[in-house]
Amino acid sequence: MLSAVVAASIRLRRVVLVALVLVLGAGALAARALPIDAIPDVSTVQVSLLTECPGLSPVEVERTVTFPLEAALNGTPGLVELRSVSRSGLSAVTVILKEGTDIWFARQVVLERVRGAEGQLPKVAGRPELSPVSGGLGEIFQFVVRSDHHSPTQLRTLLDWEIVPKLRGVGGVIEINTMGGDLKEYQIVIDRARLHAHGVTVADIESALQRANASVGGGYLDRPTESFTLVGSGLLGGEDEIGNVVVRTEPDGTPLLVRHVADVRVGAALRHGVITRDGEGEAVTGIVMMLIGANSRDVVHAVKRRVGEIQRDLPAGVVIDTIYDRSDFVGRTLRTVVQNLVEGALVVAVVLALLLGTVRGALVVVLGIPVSMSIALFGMHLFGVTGDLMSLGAIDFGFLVDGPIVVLEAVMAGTAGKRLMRHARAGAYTEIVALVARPVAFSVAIIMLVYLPLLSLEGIEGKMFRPMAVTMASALFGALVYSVLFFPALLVTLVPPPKALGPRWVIALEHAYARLLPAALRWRAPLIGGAGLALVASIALLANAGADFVPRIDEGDAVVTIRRPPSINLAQAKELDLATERVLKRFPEVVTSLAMTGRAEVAIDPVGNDNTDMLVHLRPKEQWTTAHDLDTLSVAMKSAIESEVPSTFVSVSQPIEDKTNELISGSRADVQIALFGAELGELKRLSEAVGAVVRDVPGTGDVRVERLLGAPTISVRPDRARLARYGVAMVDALSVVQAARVGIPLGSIYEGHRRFDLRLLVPPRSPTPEAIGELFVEAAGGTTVPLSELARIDETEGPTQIRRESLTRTVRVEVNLRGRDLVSWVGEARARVAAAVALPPGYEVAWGGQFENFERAKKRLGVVVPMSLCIIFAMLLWMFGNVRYALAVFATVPFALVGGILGLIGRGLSFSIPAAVGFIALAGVAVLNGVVMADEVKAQMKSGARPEDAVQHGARETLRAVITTAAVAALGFLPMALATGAGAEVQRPLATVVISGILLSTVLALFVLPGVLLVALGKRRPGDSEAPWA
Amino acid sequence: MNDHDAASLSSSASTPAPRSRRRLALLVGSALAAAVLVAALAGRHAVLAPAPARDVPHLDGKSIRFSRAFAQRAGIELAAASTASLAPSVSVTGTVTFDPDRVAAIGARIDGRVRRIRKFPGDPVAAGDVLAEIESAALGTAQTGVLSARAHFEAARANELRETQLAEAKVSSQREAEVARATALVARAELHAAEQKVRALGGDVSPDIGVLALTSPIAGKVVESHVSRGQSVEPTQTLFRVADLARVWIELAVFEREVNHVRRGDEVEIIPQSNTSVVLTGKVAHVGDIIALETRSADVRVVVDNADGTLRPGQSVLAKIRTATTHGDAVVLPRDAVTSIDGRPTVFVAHDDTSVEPRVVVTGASDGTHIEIASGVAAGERVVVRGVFALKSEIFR
Repeated sequence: MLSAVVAASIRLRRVVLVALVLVLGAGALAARALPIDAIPDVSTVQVSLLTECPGLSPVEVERTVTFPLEAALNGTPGLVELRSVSRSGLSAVTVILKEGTDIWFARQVVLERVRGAEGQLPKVAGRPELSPVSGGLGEIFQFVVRSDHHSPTQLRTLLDWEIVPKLRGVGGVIEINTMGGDLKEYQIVIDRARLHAHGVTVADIESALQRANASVGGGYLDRPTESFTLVGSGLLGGEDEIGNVVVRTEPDGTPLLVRHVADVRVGAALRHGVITRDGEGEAVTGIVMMLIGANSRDVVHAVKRRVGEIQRDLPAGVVIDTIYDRSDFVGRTLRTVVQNLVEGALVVAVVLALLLGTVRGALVVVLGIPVSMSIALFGMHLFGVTGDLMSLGAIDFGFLVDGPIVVLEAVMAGTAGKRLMRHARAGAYTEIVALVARPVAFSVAIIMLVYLPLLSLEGIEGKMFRPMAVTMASALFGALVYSVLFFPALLVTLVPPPKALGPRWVIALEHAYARLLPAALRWRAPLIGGAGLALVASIALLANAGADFVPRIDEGDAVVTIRRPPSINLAQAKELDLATERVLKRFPEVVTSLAMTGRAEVAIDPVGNDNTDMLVHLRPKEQWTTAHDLDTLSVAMKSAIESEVPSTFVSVSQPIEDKTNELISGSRADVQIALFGAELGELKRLSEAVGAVVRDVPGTGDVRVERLLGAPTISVRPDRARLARYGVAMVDALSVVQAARVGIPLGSIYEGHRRFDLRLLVPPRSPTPEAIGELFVEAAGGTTVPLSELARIDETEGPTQIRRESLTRTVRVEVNLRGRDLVSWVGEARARVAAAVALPPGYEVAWGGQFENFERAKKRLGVVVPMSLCIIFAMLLWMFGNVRYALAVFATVPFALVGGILGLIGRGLSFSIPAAVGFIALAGVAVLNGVVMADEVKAQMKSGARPEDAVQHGARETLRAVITTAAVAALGFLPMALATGAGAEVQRPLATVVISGILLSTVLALFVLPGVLLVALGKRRPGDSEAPWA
Repeated sequence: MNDHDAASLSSSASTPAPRSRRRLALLVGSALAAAVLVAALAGRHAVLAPAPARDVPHLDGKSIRFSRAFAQRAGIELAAASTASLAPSVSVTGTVTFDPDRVAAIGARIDGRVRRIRKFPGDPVAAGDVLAEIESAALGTAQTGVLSARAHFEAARANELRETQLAEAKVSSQREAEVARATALVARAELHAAEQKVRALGGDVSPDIGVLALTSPIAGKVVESHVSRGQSVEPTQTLFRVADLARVWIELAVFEREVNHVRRGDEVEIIPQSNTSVVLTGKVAHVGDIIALETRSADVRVVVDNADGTLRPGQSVLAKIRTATTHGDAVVLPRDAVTSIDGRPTVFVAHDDTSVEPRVVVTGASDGTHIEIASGVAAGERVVVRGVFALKSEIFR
């Protein structure tokens, strides 16, 4: 069948060439339409529910808000995991759904279930809000609004009301989170003394203000022909108007105004977070979130364009500074990918020209690259694969041109020195190509098929490597199509028979090989034995070498995550942040740094003052002087900061990494040891014990034991008997607590389209329980009672937050590693913890974090690798129709692995998923060498040669094809193995494995495989080869 | 790299030699050399200067060790725990009033009209200073009565003198002399009565007839004035109020729960609510004996020296009564020295200047700035009094 295709290709070569041009054109279009991002989004399908419930303590939030919501959500179809965090005043429940669930559908399902639970929530709780539809790659752009002569409040107002609404209209932007500065609000600060003097109560002022701020509709009035709408508007609009609201009219007719008893001012809403920049002061920032699945490059470009337009309309002096720009990273990654691809293609072309001695032939072979890539792009579009580091970065052009090389080599060998004109050439070429088409098609198909089991990977590794498998398989399919369909036609049209068979040095090489071969065959037993020993030894080496999940992808920017005791106040956190930024500023690598402590007024993240994320914009890596890689720089930064700023504990991560880790496991650490149980006290004890054990394990970088307690609280608990005696209602006593700091909300004040809260405050004299106790409560009969007379006021310490997973309380110990691989560390730590910490019944420990993913991936690879091997063997069996040949060729696979392992260890890289992918590819390429040689040997045997002669002849004949394909495949990956640009971390292990594996497997194919073939053929007589399944 | 590879391959091929095994070794060797070269190329990195040593506190058993530099940047200060008696304080808001002994309400004792006002609110006055002059017909009548009575008396007196001389000269009779003496005595009595009447009306025998000089009985300040020129006044009206604000009272309503702690003579800190930076001191002068039913509080009076006039009657102030009821001496630390770790009050006790140990303590009463340590720290032990948060952080590391 293949020969028919080849013959048709050559016969109808005009049509084929037109088709080729069409494919290339379509490929170019496909490339332009491809969504581009830096790395695949590995976050899960999840919906987060945030419910604000001001004033509730974490335990109360857990009991009254989180629990009903969890109960309602438990059993959601497709539920994978249910997580929650209950903090003071905020409940965050995260529902993780089965992979592949449509996000909009998931949100709908969650909303429906929550609707039922809303009625059970306490009155203070707000409506549960869904988090924006955005994933791990969602935060694509961050900016700061600055000005020399505007206050933070003004900047924040400008940001919220002028900049954000305009940016929200950009396609692909789902949300803009704003933080920093002061959220403006109108405040009425009551003066106790004046209130007392006038005999007015707080309730009087409250009701006066509520009655003074209104708008009504009066329907409409008809005049003879026209209709007039009747409206009454009496909305308050500014400090003066609020101050002039009448509280009461005295008997003598003088009105008592709000400003007589209170100060009306424009103030800042109670803050839960603070933003600082570059150690200079507070800043105001906005983070642009991208709709899940949008094209980040396009969205960022659109956002930047819009920011430019907005900038023109801003008041003079106000500047929007870009702090984080995803398109930088995407651009750098693309540059790395494109550079590797172009360099790889060049290397392939040069190597071909050198080895085959024909520039035209080399060019026609290299033309296979764009054709295969075009077809790969069609595949990517078909399967919805985004163009990124994983999908495009791992393509080796060497693989793609293997088929055409073998064909070209056969044609050259067959026609060297002959002078063939048009028709004769077509005839001769058809004959030769038809012969090699079968092994070529099989070899390429084998490599392609080997990638397919990778599609069964799941979880993060699936999301990272499935795109690679899809792209590579599509590209190889393209290569297959090119080799049998387009290549023959091109050969006949463009490449004349060579004058001689390759350059002289190649011929000399062939002679040398011919002389060495008999020796190799004679010494086949020690050679095979030696190779076997090398295999065993290298596998032993690999078992001892480290293993990592996915190598860290260098994003070019860093996130310095700071943890502090949970009781820290914002002012102190701000001072320490500024000090930290000043330390960072001394690093020549740092362009700018922006610290975000706590959460925005409208909660997005369930974090407190103790959590600071500092976005550090770094210079290009070439300009670094402190270190050459992020790990070293991280250590230097951590050490410098912790040595200079007290109460500040640092871990360094990267923007996407940080966000993704948070979304995936709820943890940002390498290893997360989670303890589950019901009692907070017991969990606390266990977590501390585990932390102490783990801290001593070698390779431990930093350990963080989650603190359960640590939130100082001034709790006011009114005594009902006393309330009764004084005739005070509970709500009145508690409203004093509300008025003390956050203020009693009294509606909104409009300034044009901007809306601000109006709040009533009765501040205490000092921030002590005593001062809170001095606050007055208005009792029945117009008397006032101090709060301390009605309530117990205590300073206590409560839990900062309560986290639950699958409806059970959990505490975690997070560990980040330095200089040791995950797997061996976890192995040791696990043993030590099991020995040292006894778990009471009902308590469990689970090991997770990055490590968890690695375990899962390892299990899956345990299936994938044998499956790939089975596919290879099955294909070989189909190809040769003979177990002996199939086995002999198959035997090259493990030998090829030896080279890969040695390469990995030699470069000091640990075993990782990319390396595993490299091994799979390597197996495919190793087979190619074997197939070409064995096919030749089989042909010789068929023609009646003795096994020794057949093997010798076959090996000699295929030397050039073997060396060429190997050199091309290996050298094509060389730029990738040496690359240092963005994203190179993932490509390096993969390329290293392939290159070193191919180098060694080629040597083995040349000197060991003939011996293996000879052993496999045994004492068979010439012509016996047709005996099936011998 | 491929050039190198190719070169080695071609050189081995171009040499016509039969020793095939050496070739094999050469070939494999050059391939390996190439691999090593690749590895070496990829692993290249400039050698960097080692990072400066970390200066962070570390846990040494139970204690935290740190450097002097850390102590400085974290603002760590040590102080010895002292023994003191900590008086629990009672805080209440109250109102400033006059000291009743130092306030005078001044009114005219007669009907009249205001002729002239001499002192206005705010003016300082000495005892006897004239505040205002009031025209009064009644006073005028009385004063003229004095004048006529005096004339009468003087005439009667002269007559008596003459009659006495005549009687001694035996010119007139003894009886006439006695009658003259009696007449003089009556006239004197009438004069006294007239003068007393003027005095009772509040006036004196001044050159201005019918003008009453309203004087202040005490030294102080005019705090109120209810008169205008020409205004008619009655004896029931209070026209001026003069008060001596050098000493004021503060009326406090202390709730029943706390009133038991308060004793006469307790020291009181007074903080005006309008200006919390000012602190005055006074003493409890009186503790009420009954609890008012509707407010559930007892009256407590505080006397405050107010020489510079900071306090104004009617003003509301915060009073902190330092009750003298103490329970003896105890170890006392600044409140900031005690922090809460894992829900328990903890103090960092110093071993030396660069090593401290967290110790759980039992706290007692607090007066806002200081706190009693019932157990855990002995008097004289040095503890961290500032920079506690930085050390607490180390425990959270």
